Amino acid sequence: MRRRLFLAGLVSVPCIFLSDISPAGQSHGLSLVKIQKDDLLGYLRRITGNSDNARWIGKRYLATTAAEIDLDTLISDRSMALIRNASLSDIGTAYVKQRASDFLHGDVLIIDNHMLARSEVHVCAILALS
Amino acid sequence: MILDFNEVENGVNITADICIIGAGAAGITIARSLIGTGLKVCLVESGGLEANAETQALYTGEDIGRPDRFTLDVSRLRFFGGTTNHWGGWCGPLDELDFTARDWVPFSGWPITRRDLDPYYARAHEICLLDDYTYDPDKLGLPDTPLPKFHIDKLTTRFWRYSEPALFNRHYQDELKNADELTVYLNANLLELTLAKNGNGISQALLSSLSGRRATVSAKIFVLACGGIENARLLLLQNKQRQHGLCNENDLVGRFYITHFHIVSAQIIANDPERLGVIFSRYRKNGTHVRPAVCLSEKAQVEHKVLNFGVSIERALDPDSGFLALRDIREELSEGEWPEDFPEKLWTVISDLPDTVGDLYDHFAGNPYRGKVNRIDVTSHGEQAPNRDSRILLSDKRDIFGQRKVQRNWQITGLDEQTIRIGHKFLGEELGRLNLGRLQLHDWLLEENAAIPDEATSFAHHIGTTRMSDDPRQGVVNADCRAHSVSNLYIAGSSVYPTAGFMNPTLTIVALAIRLADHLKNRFA
Repeated sequence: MRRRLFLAGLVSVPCIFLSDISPAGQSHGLSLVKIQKDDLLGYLRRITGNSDNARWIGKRYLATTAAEIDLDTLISDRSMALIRNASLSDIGTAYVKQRASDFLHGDVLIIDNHMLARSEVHVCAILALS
Repeated sequence: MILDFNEVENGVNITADICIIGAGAAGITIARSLIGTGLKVCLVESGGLEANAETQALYTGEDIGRPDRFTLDVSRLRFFGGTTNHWGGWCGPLDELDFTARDWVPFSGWPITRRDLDPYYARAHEICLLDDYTYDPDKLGLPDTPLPKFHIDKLTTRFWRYSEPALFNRHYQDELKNADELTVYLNANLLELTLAKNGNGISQALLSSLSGRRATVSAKIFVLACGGIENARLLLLQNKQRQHGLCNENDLVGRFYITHFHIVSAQIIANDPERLGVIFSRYRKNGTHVRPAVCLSEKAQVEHKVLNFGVSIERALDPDSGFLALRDIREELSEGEWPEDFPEKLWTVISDLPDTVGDLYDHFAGNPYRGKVNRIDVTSHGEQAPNRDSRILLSDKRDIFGQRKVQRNWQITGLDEQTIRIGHKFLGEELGRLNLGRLQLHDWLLEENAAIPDEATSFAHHIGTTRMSDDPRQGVVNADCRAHSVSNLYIAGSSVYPTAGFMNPTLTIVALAIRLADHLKNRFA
């Protein structure tokens, strides 16, 4: 119970989850698979506002997952498919779609009692590792 | 006419066409329905017009199963009006699926359908002082904030309607007092039901007051309407002429005791807590209140083979709200008490004056409370699967009349637990999909096979102990609520439900009581 109360304060409004993300990047006309990983990380930082909450959730995920996970693994995960294949200008929309699709299909992860979409946890984990 | 049984001549035999035992929601509804039919009706009530500690003590008993904060003597009230004297007024019909035999729910299926009961639900609405019988969101005058569009494979929105002042004591006392062919006997406790010599029906009921005044009632028809626990106890106590109690040839009386378990089970980390709180608050419709609940859709129940289940979503109240402090002060003053922590509460009002004024405006305009929100609680309201081992028994302890007290062995099944888990999974997924928020589950929901914690209460709903079935081997009463094995005994109340659905039981109790009264009128008037 103590842990839950602690979390309730810490994750009161994790902005990455709770606000629909407006695409902020300029249209590069490039698919993410063709651009550098640093570009993706830069973009994710922008769309999440580089949130401490998001980083914290990412760290919790990495800490509670048995397998060794690195950036490449996270980016190549199936939950990132839409985001990977989106043009930079469409990443925000792709993320929102992927997240909704994860919830619809029950592709969720529980991080410290919070039910989160697989894609949003992966985005958090990418931020935490970057 | 209303009489104190203590003033009735000792040893007299009272005669009536119909003797109703128990003046709660069911008993009062049946009695009212029979006024003007020419039938002579006697309504027997253990308590008086007000609560009395000595009579209330007759409801004490033992819990030997799951603990329940709503103990046997607290959850039921034993005076005129019965448990409606502390009823919260939550109303709604059972769903169509609740009446059907579900192959994944053992012992499910009513011998009547929702369609059979709909006309009676409409009439029950009048008795419960609700306006038109509708649960259609398009006709409920919902607030401007639209309801979330949940995926029908998972969730749906249902509605509670609130019968705010429908306490049967206050509302129907005068009508019964002024009725010609009806006599209410207060302070009269049922001690014994005597079977006629042919053994097929009840000839007499023996009554006694706490002070020892005794009399009998002879009637053509007896109706037992004492609530989901006491109905079973009274039948089990009748073991002089039938060894295992009345109507208990198939060992069904008292078994299949079910409730609606009720527990705060999760929180929502909401995107817009105030908006979410407003959507699921009570709001006013033509003087009564309506409140949405989020429930498992029928499709989800069928596909995932689970029970009916729903949650209420409500904002935890803010201690810094001036409006709430003002409300506390008003309530305590209206009860004739000086408000506890008055200076602190007054200071809260003063320091929160601008919001308090806005909240007061909303209050008087009938809008939901839009005050500050810190946390959104999810409270589970779950159906239970019928279970033979969850039951009402007789204790070895005895009451003031020397009769065995009640013993309750309340149990929860694996299907109940599976249902609550599926319900939360879908709730979390849909809150996320619609980006309304994220669900924060309590620990026990995450542990496979973890039991529902003991703080889950029964919500004071007592159901299923004299279940209805066309088959005497499966039920105590038939579809007319007549006992299979005693030709002139009818049973009213939630004890006849074979299953309980998600919805609170009172509206169905009243609907079934009207239906039973119609049956009695057609047969005997």
